[in-house]
Amino acid sequence: MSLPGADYVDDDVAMLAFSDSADSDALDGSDHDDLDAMSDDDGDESTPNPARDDDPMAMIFDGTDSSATPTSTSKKSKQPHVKITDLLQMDSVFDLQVDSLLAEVAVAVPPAARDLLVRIKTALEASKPLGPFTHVQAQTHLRKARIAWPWTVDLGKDVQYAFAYAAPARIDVVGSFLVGGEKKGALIKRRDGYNLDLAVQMPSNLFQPKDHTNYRYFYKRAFYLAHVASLVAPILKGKESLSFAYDHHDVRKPILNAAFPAGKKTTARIVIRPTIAADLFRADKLSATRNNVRPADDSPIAGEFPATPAYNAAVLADMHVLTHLHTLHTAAVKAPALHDAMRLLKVWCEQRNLNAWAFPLVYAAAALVHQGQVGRDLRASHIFRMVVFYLANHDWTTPLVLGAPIATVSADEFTGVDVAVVDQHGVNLASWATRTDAVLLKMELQHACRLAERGDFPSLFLTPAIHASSKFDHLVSLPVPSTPPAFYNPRVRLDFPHAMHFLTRAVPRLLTRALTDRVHVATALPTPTSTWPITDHPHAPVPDTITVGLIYHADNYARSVDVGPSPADDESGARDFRRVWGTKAELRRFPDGTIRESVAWTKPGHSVVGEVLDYVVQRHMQVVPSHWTVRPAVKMLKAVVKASAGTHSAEMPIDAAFRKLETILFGLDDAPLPVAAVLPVAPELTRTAIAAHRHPALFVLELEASGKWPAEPEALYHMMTLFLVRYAQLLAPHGVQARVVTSPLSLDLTCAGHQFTMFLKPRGGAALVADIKHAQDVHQLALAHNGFADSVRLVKLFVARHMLGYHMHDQAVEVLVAHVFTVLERVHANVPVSPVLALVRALELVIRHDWKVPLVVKTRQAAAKLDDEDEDKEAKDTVVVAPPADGTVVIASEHKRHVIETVAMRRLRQVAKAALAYLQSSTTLPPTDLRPVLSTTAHDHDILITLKREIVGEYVVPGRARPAHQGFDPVDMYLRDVTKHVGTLARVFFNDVDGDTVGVVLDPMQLVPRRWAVGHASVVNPRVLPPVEDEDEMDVDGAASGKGKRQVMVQVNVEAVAAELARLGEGLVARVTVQREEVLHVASA
Amino acid sequence: MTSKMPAPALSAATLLPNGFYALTLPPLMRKGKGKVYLAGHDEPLFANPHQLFFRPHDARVPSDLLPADRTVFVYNLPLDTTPAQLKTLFQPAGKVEAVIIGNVGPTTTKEDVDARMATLTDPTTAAPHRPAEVAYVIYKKATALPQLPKIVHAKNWAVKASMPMGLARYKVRFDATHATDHAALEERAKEVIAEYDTRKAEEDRAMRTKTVDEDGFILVTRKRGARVEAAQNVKPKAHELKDFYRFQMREEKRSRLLELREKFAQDKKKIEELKQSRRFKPY
Repeated sequence: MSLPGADYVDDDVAMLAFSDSADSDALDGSDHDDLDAMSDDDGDESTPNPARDDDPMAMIFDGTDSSATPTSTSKKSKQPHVKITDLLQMDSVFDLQVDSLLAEVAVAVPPAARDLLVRIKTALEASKPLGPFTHVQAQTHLRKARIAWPWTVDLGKDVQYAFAYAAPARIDVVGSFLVGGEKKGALIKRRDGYNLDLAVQMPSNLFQPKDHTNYRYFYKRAFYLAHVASLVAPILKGKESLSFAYDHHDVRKPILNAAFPAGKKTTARIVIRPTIAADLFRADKLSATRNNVRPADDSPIAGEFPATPAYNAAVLADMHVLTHLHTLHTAAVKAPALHDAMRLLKVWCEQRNLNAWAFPLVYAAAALVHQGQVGRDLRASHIFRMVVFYLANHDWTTPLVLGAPIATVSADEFTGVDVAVVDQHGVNLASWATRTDAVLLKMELQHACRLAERGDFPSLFLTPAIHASSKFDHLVSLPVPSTPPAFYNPRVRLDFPHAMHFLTRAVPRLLTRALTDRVHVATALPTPTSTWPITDHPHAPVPDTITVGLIYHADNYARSVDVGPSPADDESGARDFRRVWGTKAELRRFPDGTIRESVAWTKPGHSVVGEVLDYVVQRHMQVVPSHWTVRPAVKMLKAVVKASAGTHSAEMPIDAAFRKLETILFGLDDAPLPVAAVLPVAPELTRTAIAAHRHPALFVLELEASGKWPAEPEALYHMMTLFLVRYAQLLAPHGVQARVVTSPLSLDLTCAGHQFTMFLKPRGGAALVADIKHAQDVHQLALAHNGFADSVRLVKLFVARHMLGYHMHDQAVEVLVAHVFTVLERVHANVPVSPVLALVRALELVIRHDWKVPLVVKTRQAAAKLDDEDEDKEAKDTVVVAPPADGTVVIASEHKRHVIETVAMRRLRQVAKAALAYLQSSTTLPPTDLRPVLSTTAHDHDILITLKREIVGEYVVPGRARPAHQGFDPVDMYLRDVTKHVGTLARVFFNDVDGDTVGVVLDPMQLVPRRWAVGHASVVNPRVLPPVEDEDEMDVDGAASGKGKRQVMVQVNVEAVAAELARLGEGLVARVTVQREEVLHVASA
Repeated sequence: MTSKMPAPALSAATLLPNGFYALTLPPLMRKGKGKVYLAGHDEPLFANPHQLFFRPHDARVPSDLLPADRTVFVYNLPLDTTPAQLKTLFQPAGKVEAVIIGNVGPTTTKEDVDARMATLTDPTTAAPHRPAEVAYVIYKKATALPQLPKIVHAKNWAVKASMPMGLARYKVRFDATHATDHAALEERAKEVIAEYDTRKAEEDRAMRTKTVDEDGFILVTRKRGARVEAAQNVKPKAHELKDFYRFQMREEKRSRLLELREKFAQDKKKIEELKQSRRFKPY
């Protein structure tokens, strides 16, 4: 076989990989036993099998929470998710979809790639030995070869050992390419192409037994790799290129990428990793509790040297590359669908930016197979579910042991490590991961569990790439100081030689410690792997700005006091608390009598997190973090909402007034009919209004049913008038001013300084009932989700600021946000807490939704947390989900259908795109200012009507009660008049929150000259054009040329229309500006 | 084109090829109120020439309201035109009997027109005209029509007599719907209800007494509110025993299998469709 390593995957030959391993005999035996056991009881894994009690592989997977010690099989029944019977009841749609997806990500490795592999193999096998060199000689050698030594760690001056090169002991294609046989493989196409891993095993005689200490192994490895680069460079052809990169951002482990074009846009890479024989170093020396890096003499480290688990794991991983491949491969042979399951797992990781986790997940799948949990006949989707359920139920603070560990490995030694996914040889597969990485992974896994239970394929595998700004509630970026902060001390320096790399791990930990339960996750955003040409000096593994994403805990994030331990009970805890908070920590006496350490914050709501972050980062790192949009957003919301009691207390003053009114209404003794219910309708009463008190808040008084209402509409109207007059009289003694509004019939009330409008509902008009139901749902959602009300306000503000308020009904915006909070919960693992996150998701929704179909949110179901299993209901909703008419789009709930003109939606999509482009412009330095998103330009409007500022301010100042005007809003009346008057000629846009300019966009099609007509086809405000002499123009219109002189051409008189708009708003309009002269005289242009 | 278009001289009407006369009205804005500007220019556009069109009425369908020989059809009214303005404009040609604003079709009655004109003259209900509104000016004598083109002149357009618009109008409208005098409202409502009650009582009495008509038939009516039981809603009783015979079981099994197979085929088709629409790109 011409392919290097291809022979390796043959099962028998694969065993040879173990021939070097001292401990392989026992493992081999167990492998085969397991295989035999499998054939006996395929498909019946959920029943405990006493025959396998003494099988070490079987026992490892028992504990879901902690697998530190083998436990009895009785625990197995406690795993709720892995039930074969459940899994077999999958619908075929899901499996068919899986197949289609896998076909989409399949990789056809081109012959060129195979050719390149062969060339590399031949070149390396034929290479001549080199050295041994001293350090200086080695440097000179590489300089001559024009290769930069891919190394940045300062090792001091005394590098005494020798460097040498010899042809590799063996060269293997490892990784997913050949797993399960060459025909299968678990390779997938990623966004940036795909990787083929090539393990180049360095001969053991290049190393000394003590070389695992003090970077010696890694330094030699880097030299070896550099020399390999110099050997590979000459054999490259065409567009193939070489570059160095770091493995998992670890500066100790450079790798060599040989990139080659694979397809039109994609580039694939052959990743060359130097490895060593599995028996080269003693495993016990590299256990997670051992120290292998001694500090330089001048470093003051008191006591015992700290363990270097990351360093040790890096060496161990190089020793066991082949072992891992063997494990994957034998598992794939046992379970035929495993390689597909691996690809599913990888696709899932790729979509969620969890690429680094792909290998541990795939390895876990293989381990499950070895353990006997996966039957031969399980499909890929079943295995995917099993792995996801299994890992989602694991407690990631404890080590996860995959496979049967050999005698010398025990899970206890990993207790000090952040995250441990340990294979049978004690290699930590997730040594690069931090606690927060694991928390994030677990969150995603649990989400995947829910989706998998529902069989929701699109959300599971077809979600578009999720940008950080639509994933996290808050992003904060920290510039890293040139001198690392004090907590990068000599002790941690041993295991993390690169300060930046350490900080990307340490900063999230620090922030998590400071924010405690305010956040679910505080994690550094993944950064792309940096590569550099082989002639360059190594690049930094991570950029010098750390961006941390936070996912808020909805209930805790705005807590204003952090309470620590009491120094009397827990002295060390109190000391820790002091260490984090410094002088800000104070001893306070609490209502329950205890005296405890505590920190109090002054800012309200969303700003608390910002305040905490600012303080902690400045105290520990002496830098000022920059925040993503959130703080200006809060300010803006506050300015707009101006709920005087602070934005975040759910209590708004109008609520109190409303409750008082409610009590009065229920308590009226002489009322003609008893009150059945008081139903809020206005957004002011469901806490979702942008401007409290723009209009009197609408509510409906529902009376007890009575059969005595007159049947005729006119008599009913007057009967209701009588009722309202009676209510006005009854309410007067309670200090409520009331007056009857005759059209539409209602009662205007002033109670405790707030304005209300009361409708009477003897029997429900359909529209009113829909409004009531909608308001109830919104209220429910606002209670269920902490961030809902704020989010609705921000999105409404966005819509209003872009002058679309008159095109999108308030309720339509509420439905849109309800979609973000309920339906999108399938795509995202978390529901937004911060309004900016909700805004980003709403904007994405506006852009991505296919508006040819209506956007339907079952708000009632969502509010009641019902699952939409009930298919019968669908039939009833056909009215709602009917496709929108031409020129419109539809946003609908169960209650109501909101029709929006396509023109308005197009505008909304435009501004949404621009806003998203701004918000997501950079992941490392998120924009700090939200204002550009919320301001619009008027330059593309044809006519601008500038309203008098003093009039607008008099009647429409947001958030200020103006009882004197009793809800009189001439601006609103004017806008309605204008819209009516221009009709189809133009669209009218107005920022109804705090704007004073009306934008009018003319329909260009209506500006062209037309033939004279009176009646339906007539032109709005026509102007007669001078007769056209030009023969050609007349010929265009055949009828015209025939009739000759009788034809008159007319055109819209834009100037006169503008003047009419000015007259229409006499006393309101300051000036009308025609933006472009062309619109006045299209014909002459 | 410049922004400083000279105000066109007020002129008489000009004849268009299609038989209409076009009259360019003077600037319609009352003094000093919101002017129209062109962006980038400091001087307001001065003229805003609004064109009014008219001609002798020639309805294909004759209407009693519009005598053919003495009616002028006017087209493209400014939105705030009052009947008085039209009257003063056309008066010089002869005595104007009536002005009707809004379209008059073959089915339009005198009452409709009266109601319409009443709404227009009442300040609480008057609304701006829809764009390109039409009007009819009816002269007393037919002799007025031939003089029209010569005598109708833009200088006779009474700019100040237009309908009040803007803030003033909104205030009036708002006050009209927001009652201050509850007593009057109550009185009116009580009147209507009393009237309704008497009418209702009358109807009921008629219903009870007038049971025998001229031909001697007794009219039987059902009582209001009585309900007929919906007989069709009653479910027929199931007589068949399920799974009683062996063949039933067999058949059911077979049909279920068939169903499953069908479902699978459908699923496959669905996926194929999804594939066609390129839905399986994961990133």
